[in-house]
Amino acid sequence: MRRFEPPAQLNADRPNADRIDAEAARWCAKLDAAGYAGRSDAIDAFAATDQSFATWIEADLRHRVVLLRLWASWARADRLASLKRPSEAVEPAPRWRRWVGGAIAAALVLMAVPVAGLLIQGEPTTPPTQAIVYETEIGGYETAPLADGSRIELNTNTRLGVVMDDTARTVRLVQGEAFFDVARDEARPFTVTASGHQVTVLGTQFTVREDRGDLHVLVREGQVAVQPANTAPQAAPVMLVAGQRLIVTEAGVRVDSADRAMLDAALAWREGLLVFNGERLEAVADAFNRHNTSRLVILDPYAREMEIGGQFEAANVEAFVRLLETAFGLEVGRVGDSFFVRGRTQ
Amino acid sequence: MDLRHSARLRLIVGMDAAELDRWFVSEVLCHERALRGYLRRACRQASDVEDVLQDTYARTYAAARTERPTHVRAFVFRTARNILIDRARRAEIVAIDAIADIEAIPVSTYEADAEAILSSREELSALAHALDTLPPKCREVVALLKIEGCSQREVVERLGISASTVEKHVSKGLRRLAEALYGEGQPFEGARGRGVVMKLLRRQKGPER
Repeated sequence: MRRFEPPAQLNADRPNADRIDAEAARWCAKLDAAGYAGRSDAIDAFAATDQSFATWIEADLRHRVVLLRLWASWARADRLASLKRPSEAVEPAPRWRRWVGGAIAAALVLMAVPVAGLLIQGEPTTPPTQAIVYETEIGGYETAPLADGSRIELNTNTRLGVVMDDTARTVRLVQGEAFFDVARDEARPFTVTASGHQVTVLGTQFTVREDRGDLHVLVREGQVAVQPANTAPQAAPVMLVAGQRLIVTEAGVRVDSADRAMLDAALAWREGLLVFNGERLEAVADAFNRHNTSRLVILDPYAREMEIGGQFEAANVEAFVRLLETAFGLEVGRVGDSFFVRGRTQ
Repeated sequence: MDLRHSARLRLIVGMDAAELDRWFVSEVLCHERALRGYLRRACRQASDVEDVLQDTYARTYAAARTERPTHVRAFVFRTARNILIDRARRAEIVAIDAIADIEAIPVSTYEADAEAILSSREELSALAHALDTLPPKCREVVALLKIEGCSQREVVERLGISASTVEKHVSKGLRRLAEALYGEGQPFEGARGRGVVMKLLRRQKGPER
């Protein structure tokens, strides 16, 4: 009879917090061993392949939240990689390859490249410094922790080189887009160059996108100075503050301000998402095409002008295409890896 | 139905489990330090802190499945407080004073605390310090994985130990890293720690002064 049970028994079937934490840590170690490191969808991907893990994670919601906490910590501990001496980074680091895993994920290759002439134009620095090259494939996303505590997040199809020495921190964005979270260091300005344009900061958060010679800069925090290509070196740079956006094209330089929603939308790629607030379908298709090897082509001139709002997974073109069909009433034809969109024939 | 003529159609897709997980990691975990401060005061036994914390997380996550709270921090604290009061009421002997105590602790002061998120540099120091305080073998395994970028399989080969031993070290190491990042951790002395990893960190930053 129940009342004769010692009170301790009442909670005996409820695993205590420490046990859950220990179990979750063991599963994290297995997730890491199975090559899921760095993937935020690791839990469900692993559960799909491992029945005993699936059973455990489903048994109690506490299992999931505790595991998420440990798994997030393990990912953040990747920052320790910045303690590695650059000279040791000559070999392509297998960890980075493994980290991304899966077909859509990018390969981020760490390799040393002799810097003179190749990455940094102009005067070679006296002690031959080595650049670390980071790159992502189409659909890729990577975080690169730097030795100074700064962090670069690379969007799809991006390639950049980083050189650090005692006097300067220089990044050359060869192609693509990156978000920079720069650790403040007054003695060593942080400069990003792209297509001859130059963006200089002390410590701030901003993105730079190179687009066929054009430059897009969006500042989330702090202040940056932009020196567009083909301006006299003594010309005053364009100063941008938080919430401002600058676009340099052949036609000239334009600065406008971005509200919170625009900032979030422009940075949503960091979460693997594309966010639109009434962009034309044509621009939306371009965005998907930057993130995927498949092509989304809008044939119908009317459809191109449609305004799209919403939040989509960047890698999931098919889900977006299904929505175009079901919600927007468009007709989509598929040829191989390409989707052709036209108005539904009446 | 042809919706092409509606100028805009807001569609939210992809709100799947992975996205909820990301939300939880980025929006909820950052309040753990403050929440622990509150729970330490409100719990009669230290061992209850972890338990209530896990329950708070689970309830917050469950609630967010239907609707994400707008003010996450306030929601998390309110949830923790409700759990504490529920527990006090469910106890064998209901200690009215315990409930009164819980009610008396001003949640708002903990809630209003500036977010105690580690800065980028502090975070690296905290990680390096946590790594330094691990037992030597465990530290070696974590350093190979996280600093050298090895895979667990490569660690097995390099150290000549079994895969399950590596897993054990990893699970121990990652609990300590999580403690350093989200928990109250042991106090670490900025960049002045004495372990080998902290030395490495200093070398990276260049000579001080």
